[in-house]
Amino acid sequence: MNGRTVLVAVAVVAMLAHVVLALVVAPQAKGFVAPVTQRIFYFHVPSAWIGYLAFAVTAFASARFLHAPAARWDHLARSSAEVGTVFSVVALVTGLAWSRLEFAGYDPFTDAKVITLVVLILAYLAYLSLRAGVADDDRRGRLAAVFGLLAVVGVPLSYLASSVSIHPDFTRPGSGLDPGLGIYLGFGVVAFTLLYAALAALRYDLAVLEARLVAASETLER
Amino acid sequence: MLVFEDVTRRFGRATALEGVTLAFDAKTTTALLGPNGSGKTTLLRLAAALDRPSRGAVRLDGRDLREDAASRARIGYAGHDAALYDALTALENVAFRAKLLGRNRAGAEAASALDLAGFPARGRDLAAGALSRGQRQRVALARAFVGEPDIVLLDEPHAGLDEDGAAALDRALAGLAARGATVLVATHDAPRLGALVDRAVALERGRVARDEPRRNAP
Amino acid sequence: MRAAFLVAAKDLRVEGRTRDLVNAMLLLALLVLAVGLVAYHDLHERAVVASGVLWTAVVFASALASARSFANERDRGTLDVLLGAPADRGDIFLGKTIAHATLLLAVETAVLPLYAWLSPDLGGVALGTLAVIAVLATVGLAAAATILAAVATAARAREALVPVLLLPVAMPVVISAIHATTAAFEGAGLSEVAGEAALLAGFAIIVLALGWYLFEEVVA
Repeated sequence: MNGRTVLVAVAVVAMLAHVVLALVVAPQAKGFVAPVTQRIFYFHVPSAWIGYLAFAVTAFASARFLHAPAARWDHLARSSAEVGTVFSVVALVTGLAWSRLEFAGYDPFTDAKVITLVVLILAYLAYLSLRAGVADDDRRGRLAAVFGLLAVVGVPLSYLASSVSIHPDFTRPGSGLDPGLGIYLGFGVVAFTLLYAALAALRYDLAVLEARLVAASETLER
Repeated sequence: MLVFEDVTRRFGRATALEGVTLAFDAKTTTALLGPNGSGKTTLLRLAAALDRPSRGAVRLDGRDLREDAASRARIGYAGHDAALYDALTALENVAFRAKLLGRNRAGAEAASALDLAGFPARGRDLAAGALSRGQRQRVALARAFVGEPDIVLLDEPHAGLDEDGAAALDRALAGLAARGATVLVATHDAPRLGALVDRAVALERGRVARDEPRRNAP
Repeated sequence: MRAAFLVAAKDLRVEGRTRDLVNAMLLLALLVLAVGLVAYHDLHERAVVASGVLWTAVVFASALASARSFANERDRGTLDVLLGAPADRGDIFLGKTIAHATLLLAVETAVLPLYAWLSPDLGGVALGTLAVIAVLATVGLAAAATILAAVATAARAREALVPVLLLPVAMPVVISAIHATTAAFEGAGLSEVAGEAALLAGFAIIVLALGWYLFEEVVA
């Protein structure tokens, strides 16, 4: 049993456990307008967390790649970006669904968190478009890395800008969950992080194999 | 001394240069020969610090060209295409390079360089976009010569020149050699250079196929 | 640094002779303004929309001009002239940013009076605040557009990719500039938009620094 298989197995188990815990086991949260749909929270928050984490990983790998161009950093940057895009979209969709049901008169575009999530998704899509548009392997990694570092500035500053300038009309009831339920959210974060790690690792392995395949076919041509 | 240390340059799947190791001394004029696609242009661009090798290093007097911005002041380059700013005049194009080199009397030096390249006094105030191919080529050459660089890299400089222009270029090359510059000329027209050349390096599919002092240019 | 001013001077001199970029930018800004005028009938609505329309036009004009500028340098081969200069590659970036920011400011100055016309109370516009915000936003935007245009023109889709890359990175500028401009149209003093101004300044500094360090990776 190699490390990868263990990681994937643990991630799957953790996610299954989380689904059960979040949907069945966790008690009803108090103080929410729509108590049943509140459970989306256990999926929305961890998804958003992973969306941002994955981008930070891409930015870190980009910086490492520029510092010392080893292919593995480029593979990591790209893998994390692909997985992160999916989680970010999930986060946005679940977040909008939940907020619509929960808050009266909710306007998503006065919410700094929604705006930032949208900017994050735009950044991911731009990153992937850029990668798709460069044929030369050497340049692709470098150009994508440069963009990654610039985008990692844009996203947090978008949050700041939105917080400073945009003042929403709706008010959030309380600050969310009762403390007792925090443990379910915490477990969710752990489960999602494992899922992200497993997916990113699998994607990474695929990228490494692709690179080897290309190198092998080139050697054959000579 | 300009040195190529085991230089390889790959573009995606294609390899332009492979394991090239060469050294070019002062006071020598080398003809760089080879069919289209053999890597001559890539080699010159690497020597001009316009590109970076996939592996290996290009050094000028021991310093890696990629790391030492100042060494670029000593290298004059004229590529395949004239690469001029169409909206600027011939004089302005050359003077721009002179100013970037930090020369105080950029205008005067640009004018001398244009003289050396055989560009007549009339027409220097015309926008480069309005010039003929031969004239553009002379401006590009002037830009390579301005500032008295120690290394002069020319990619097929005779292309587009008429008899007068070619004669001026030959005179300029002789002058450069006399001054002690290192000159590297990529060419299809080796016999033309004839007596000016001290050494001939031939490339074939990215590798050095032949490297010999000139006896009779091939 | 000397090289930066030489490059900027060269860019501006070329632009002064051809006026390609400025014409395209002005036209774009006017077209967007026209759409804004036509789409919103109510005077009050227009005032609210004015700054949004303005900065949308500026961002797209910036993407357009920076993309063209780099595409030209690459296609004509003149980028080599800049790369062959004995200067830090970061200085080339600075020079191009200075030139681009200058052109953007010129377009904004030409168009701003027209946009202010959308505001119901022209006399209440705080010009000083407007000027400061516009300059801070423009510098940051120009820096982002310059480095990203260099990146995009190296890819296959070239110029079409610049707006795609620019929006996520420049969103903080868009958000802050729009809100601060609306406030300025309503007569706000600089202290009231201090948060936005600080953010714009911070963004500009960070992107200028990043662009300076990363330019070499993109072009050579």
